[in-house]
Amino acid sequence: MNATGPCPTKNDLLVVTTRWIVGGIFLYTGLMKALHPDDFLRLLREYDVVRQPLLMNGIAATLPWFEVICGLLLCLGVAVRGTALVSVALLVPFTGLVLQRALALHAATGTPFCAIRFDCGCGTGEVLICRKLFENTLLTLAGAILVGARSTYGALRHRVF
Amino acid sequence: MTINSKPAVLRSLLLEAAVVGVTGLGLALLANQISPRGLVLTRDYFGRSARGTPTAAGPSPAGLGRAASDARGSESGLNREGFRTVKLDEVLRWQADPRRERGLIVFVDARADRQFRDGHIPGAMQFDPFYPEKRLTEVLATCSLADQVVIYCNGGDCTDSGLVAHLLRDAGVPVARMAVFVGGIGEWKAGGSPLEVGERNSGDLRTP
Repeated sequence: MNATGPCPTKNDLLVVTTRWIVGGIFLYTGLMKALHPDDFLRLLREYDVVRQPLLMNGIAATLPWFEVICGLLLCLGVAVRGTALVSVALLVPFTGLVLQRALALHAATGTPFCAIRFDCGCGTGEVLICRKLFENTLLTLAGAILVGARSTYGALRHRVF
Repeated sequence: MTINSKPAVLRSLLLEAAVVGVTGLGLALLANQISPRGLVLTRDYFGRSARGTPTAAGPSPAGLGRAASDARGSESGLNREGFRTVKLDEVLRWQADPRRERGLIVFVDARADRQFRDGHIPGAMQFDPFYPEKRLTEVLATCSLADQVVIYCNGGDCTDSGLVAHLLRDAGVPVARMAVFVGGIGEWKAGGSPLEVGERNSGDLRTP
């Protein structure tokens, strides 16, 4: 384990806590989706981004497990910066899609934006979209912090290369 | 190995991300294969017309295509195809109608197992259009004897009730006997009506 010493700095603690939180969230939400991939496929279809069945099935089948793997790597501290970069790369477009769908619902129903709620396929069931967007923004920022962080405290193998 | 220069750091970061991406994808595919709940990648869960374009001639036998469901899932699309769409007040009347107890009015829930167990319109049968083979025989037998079949899903963007309506029509249930409750379970709950939790006719009623 790449501990920097017996007494971690505040920065070390901040980074390791961020890593565990982001990893834990990915692990939980990934598992929730992986256990019900057909639900996730159905929700994915409602986004109407992909229509080709093989591609749609492929995304619904792999994305949840991919999240689980990213969560595990972050929690264990393996390839941290690369995994964090991949996590951010997943979060940004997904958050964009959630926003796009929420705006479409807002325009169609006239419901106040922050009162709009639907199951966004995030693994946490039906949610208020304002809150989900806020959470995703925080998660993206936390991921970006991990990409830039140099602390290797508590990491099993902080970088592969 | 020590990497100090910025381009080298960036390169190693991108390489690491690529390795995580490719390895993760491979492991994820493997996990899906091993998982008893894994998806069959080559299966068309929405029917064959998902790959094609909707035709003016009408629905495909499967009737579950995305392209087709764009036109059919919406209220206007369903109406164009002769399906009646109904609002909450009418659904409530049918729910209270004594004919429901005799099986002459049947509610069909087009959502997934978990959502159904979490709460459905009391007495509704579940029929997931993703897995029609699971309950088609049972649902068809019940719906064939009914005067009125009311189909619903989540409401909002949900098109699964439309998909079920097409499946049942293709299986022989007359369109005139079917109605799609487009507001779905969302409108039902918003109206404060009770939900039945667990299996059909479990009797476990809860107010949302």
